[in-house]
Amino acid sequence: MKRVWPRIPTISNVCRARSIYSAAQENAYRSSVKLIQEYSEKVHKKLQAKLLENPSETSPEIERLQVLSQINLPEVRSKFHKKEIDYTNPVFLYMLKQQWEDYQKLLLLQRLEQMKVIKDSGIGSFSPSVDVQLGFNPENNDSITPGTILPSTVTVKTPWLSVLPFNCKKNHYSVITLDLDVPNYETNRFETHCNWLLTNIPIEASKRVPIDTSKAFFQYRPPIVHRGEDKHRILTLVLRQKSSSISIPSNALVRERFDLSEFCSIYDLEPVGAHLWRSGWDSDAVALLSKHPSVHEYRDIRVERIPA
Amino acid sequence: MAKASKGKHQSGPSNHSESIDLVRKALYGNKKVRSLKMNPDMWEKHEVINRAWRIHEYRQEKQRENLLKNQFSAMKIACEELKHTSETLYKAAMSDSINRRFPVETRTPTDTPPRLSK
Repeated sequence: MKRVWPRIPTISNVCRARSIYSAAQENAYRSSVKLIQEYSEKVHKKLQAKLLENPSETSPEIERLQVLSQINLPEVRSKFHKKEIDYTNPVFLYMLKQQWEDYQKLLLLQRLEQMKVIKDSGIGSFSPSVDVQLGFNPENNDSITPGTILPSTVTVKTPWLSVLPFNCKKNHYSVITLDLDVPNYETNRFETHCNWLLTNIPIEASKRVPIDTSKAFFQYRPPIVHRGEDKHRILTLVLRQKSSSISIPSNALVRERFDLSEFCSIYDLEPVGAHLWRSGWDSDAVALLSKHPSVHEYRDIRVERIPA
Repeated sequence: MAKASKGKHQSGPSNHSESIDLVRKALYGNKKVRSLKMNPDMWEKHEVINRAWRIHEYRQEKQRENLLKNQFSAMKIACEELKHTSETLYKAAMSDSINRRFPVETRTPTDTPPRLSK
């Protein structure tokens, strides 16, 4: 067949998939679908055999076979691209995890490392395994990018929090929000204060609702930033509990000088997710923080001069 | 990271975000990436074909790996058989190739054609 050159020799015309290739593409597509279905059926038979050997067993091998038997099917991938995600299916959770690890996890770790949050909070080492989405407007689902600088008019409200673990198990989690940059003028150092503490929250991937924030150990307190201070880093951690219920006496913890590593070791918690935002002083801070019920008092700090 | 503000250097969020916005606008604002003109159906077909090709490549690699594994196990079996049959031949087979040279004692003086003088 003689090749027909286009009239205008531009790049877009040359690279366009033309009609003389569509028949070959259709043939390749049909062969590919056949091959994929054959492969999926083969893996499915292997999965059925393994399940017959050990019924009601969940192992990484069985999960891997479950994912492999469906991840290549065109209808599954088409549903995923159209955002019709079934959160009870491990295949969709696996694809969501891959997508999350490609961008959101990298972004979060970049922000945590840039702002030295992991070192200052005392976690030691941190590798996130759940997706934490946090926002302040309950009307829409716009979550805040980690590391964003937020004004006081936004941070004065209680945020909503949505946690997505990428497996089908049901676990209980605790959520803690720390302010890492509270200055102490007596000791001339920075301290960590606890702004928010929630415990015993059941979370599973199939229920896609924000977590219940009514029963909080510490009610949400907006970050208290005074005039002249630099921006505060507000870290929100999601900690997985080993037991389904931990009981904390009401006088066991205080907000000031919070020791996170001690808290995690006492109540056997493991940090699995994080979120970060920053708050600075602005002109609305005085009016808003003075009226907030969780803030006991808010006034400017006067540092006296050292006598000469 | 957090520090008290210096005397002259003002580090408020407005200045910082303004400069960052300027840099971001200069870097990413006017970029238009030209891409292949394929509609979403073609992209889906492309993805399916790509995944099938990867499955095919995986099977080929698996087949090649199995072939090499079978060859290696056959070689091991042959060496075991040789070890049981003859120890001398086994040692000769297992020695390094750098030690296998023509023995000097068996070389006898021979006449060779003379070199051609120019």
